[in-house]
Amino acid sequence: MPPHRLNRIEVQGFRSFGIVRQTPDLAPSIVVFWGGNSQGKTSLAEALEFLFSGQIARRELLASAKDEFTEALRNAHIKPSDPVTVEAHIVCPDGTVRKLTRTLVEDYRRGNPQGCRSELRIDGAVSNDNDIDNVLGIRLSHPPLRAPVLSQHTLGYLFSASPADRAAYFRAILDAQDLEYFRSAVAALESRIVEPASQELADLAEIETVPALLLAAPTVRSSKTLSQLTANLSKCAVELLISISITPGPALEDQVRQIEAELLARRNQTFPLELLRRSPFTPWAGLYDDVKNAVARLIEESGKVDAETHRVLSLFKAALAIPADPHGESADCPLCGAVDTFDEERVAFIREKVRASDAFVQSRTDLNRALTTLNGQLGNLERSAQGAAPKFMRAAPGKRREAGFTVAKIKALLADHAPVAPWLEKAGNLARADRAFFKAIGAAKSIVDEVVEDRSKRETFMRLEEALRAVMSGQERFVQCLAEYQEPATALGSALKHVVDRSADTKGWEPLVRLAQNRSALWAALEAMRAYNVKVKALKKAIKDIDAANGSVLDDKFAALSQEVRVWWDRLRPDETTFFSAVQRRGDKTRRTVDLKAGLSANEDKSSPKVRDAVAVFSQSQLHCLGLALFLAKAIQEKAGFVVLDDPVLTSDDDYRPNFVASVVEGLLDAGVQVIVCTQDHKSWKDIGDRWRHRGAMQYQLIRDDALTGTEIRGVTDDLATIIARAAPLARSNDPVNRKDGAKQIRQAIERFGKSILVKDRKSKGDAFASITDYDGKNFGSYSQQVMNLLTKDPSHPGKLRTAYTNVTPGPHDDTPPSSGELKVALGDLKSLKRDYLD
Amino acid sequence: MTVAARKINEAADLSEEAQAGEPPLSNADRLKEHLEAGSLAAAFLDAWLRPGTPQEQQARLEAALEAHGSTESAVNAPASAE
Repeated sequence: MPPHRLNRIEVQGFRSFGIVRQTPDLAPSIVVFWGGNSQGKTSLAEALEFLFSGQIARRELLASAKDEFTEALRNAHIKPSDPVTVEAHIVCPDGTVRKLTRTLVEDYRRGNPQGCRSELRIDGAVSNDNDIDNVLGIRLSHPPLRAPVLSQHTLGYLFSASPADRAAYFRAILDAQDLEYFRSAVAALESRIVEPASQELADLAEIETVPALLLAAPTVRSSKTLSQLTANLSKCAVELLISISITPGPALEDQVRQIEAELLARRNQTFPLELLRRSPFTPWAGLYDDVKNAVARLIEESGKVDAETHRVLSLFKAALAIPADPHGESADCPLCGAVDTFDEERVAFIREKVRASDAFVQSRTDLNRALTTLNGQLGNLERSAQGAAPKFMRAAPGKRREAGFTVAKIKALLADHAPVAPWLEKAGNLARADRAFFKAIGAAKSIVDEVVEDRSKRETFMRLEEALRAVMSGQERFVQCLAEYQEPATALGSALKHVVDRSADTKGWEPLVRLAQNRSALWAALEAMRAYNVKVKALKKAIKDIDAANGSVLDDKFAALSQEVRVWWDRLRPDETTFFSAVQRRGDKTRRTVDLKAGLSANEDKSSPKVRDAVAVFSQSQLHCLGLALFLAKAIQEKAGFVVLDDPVLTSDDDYRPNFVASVVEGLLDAGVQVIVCTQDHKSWKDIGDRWRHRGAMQYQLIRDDALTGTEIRGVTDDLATIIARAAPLARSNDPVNRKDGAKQIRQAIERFGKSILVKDRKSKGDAFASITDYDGKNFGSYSQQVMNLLTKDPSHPGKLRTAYTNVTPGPHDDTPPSSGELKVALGDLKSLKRDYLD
Repeated sequence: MTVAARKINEAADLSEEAQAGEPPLSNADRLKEHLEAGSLAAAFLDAWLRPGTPQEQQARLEAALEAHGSTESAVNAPASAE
């Protein structure tokens, strides 16, 4: 399948290109553009880079100078409304021609590291950069050298890039970025494995630092069974007790009690930390609906019964116990004795009275039960609140002072008083909330008692409800104050404990007691830690295996790439005994350092070379060739359909230019790569055109006469423009020899202008066969008058041409070249005449 | 599927298709050649190559590590936890 080809490009407003859209057609094999300095070669190469990547690599490579590229893409002389557009007509492998267009929307700006913004279209439809691959099938390289465009600025990139950037560049070339992605994905797991953290592990770490336990403590961590763990903890307890001259008890539980007692005693000698202790608070859910419902039902049922019914209830029940007449006959009433009145209707009446009375009794029972439950809940709440506040709040002031729990003592113990003030503030808030809360609970309990005593008063029920609401509100405030107290209390407690333990020489005792009392939790924590360690070790080994495997894959690929680079190197510099040897990883364990190696041989056949770093031993010219060889190898590896080479061979490398024109171009054409070359070397341009004409080579010239018009791309037929462009730098030169050459070229240009205007005139008069060659061998003097006669647009024109010719034509025996000023005037006049009469 | 995994998969598919002729070795093939079969690294590669979103891919890697961790723990567990 043939690769992608560019068969036409269009550039307008981009850098040196002006308002006149340039639209050169391109040969599918090789196209060569010639232009002198500042004529637009690099602009053309970068226009294509911009088209494919949306940026120019030069800015990315000059990272420290990004701001200097402000407004760099838009031609400085065109109007803001003029478009900046680059377009390519691309022949795809299936033969279709697709149009890729990029228009600059916002140029590079100072302080905007994101770069410029542009709009991409494919066949006129707005697209995104991924569509270059997805729709057109052109896969670009890794940044910053995304497009297959080689410029002077990018040639040296590999030699100046950081090791990481150089490695990334080669991974991209080798299509091995996925290996790194895979490695990174696996390595990312390291941060996902969370090291177990628990009070038990923290306690274990602390006892491992206790000098008295240096031998026993490590055995705890390596316990293989829970019983071994218990034994090892006991070993610690025994060592600790012996170290403080206490005879250890027989079992771990005994030893723990001994340590606790000694710990409390020692601490209390310094400070009663115990008084800071508090228990968790269990809040009351505030559900007293049972009471409310029971009260409501009692009120409802009490309305249905009267005192009289209640008084004769037992008689009613006895009457209902009398069996009914089997024939349905009414009987005399057993309650009042009335004759024939104890019928079904009366029985139903009595039954209803009895039911209402029973319901009333039941509702009273229910209310009693609900009140009892509520009373219990309030009691529980009171007890929970009792323990939830720190113990010093419950102790009488005298007792507190006696135990040494005073602010003055705390401050005396702590070198840093910072934790004291916040603790005092929150403790004060908590104490106030605590008092209010207890008051509310007490009030509620006493109203419950009232209700139990006398359930007949509705007003008491309402007061109970209010009191319970007050309990809830008090609880809310109490919980809030507890939460606010937590942090400063913990800070103060830790600081105090540290000081106290140090002063009492009890560091690690409390953790040992906790571990001994929570052996199951410690065992679980140790198992979690063991599992973690296994996982970490396995992951580290896997990453090491992957690194080694990735390295081996890369080594194979580097070897293949090195072979490819050597091919291009040999085409450029076939006979040198200093040569490119290999591109390779620095070592087996190195992932991020890639070296370029040079071979230094003392023999013409390059045998027995010494290997050195190319960057160190290569000359600038050799590094330049290596950059080009790497670029070409990369293009081949990435199967680029086309390459754009901006001045691929240094002007000073005269010896190697023929190798490029012949051997390198041949290699590229044979590999099916379309070659687009921009060069300022006229000879190379001519040689490529001549040598590869049989392969359809096309030649263009880049001419920039006018800033607004910008760079113009002209075919080879515009020889006059070529001669003028070549003469321009010579005319400006201070070197008399150059100026002499410049004068000669301007003279040739004037002669060419004269012949061209004559041919144009003859053609306008119907002479279809008029040709420049008609004037071959004739000197300017023989046809100059005819030329002057045609310069009629301005009376000054004949004089200008005559003066120009005179100034660049030396007199007999005159070796003095014209001045730079004379040459520049002559050149300027000739350009304007050309524009007025020929363009 | 991530672009990187797709690339490896495409290359792997290509190599499978081409086995009868001239098999171009993909990065996945080359990596497998250098990773010990049954190792955690090889399990990671298998997990990473399966299709799915990057999140699913990451989850599979974690699962592979968990599975390996369980096996290791079972092998190296203390004699008895009573």
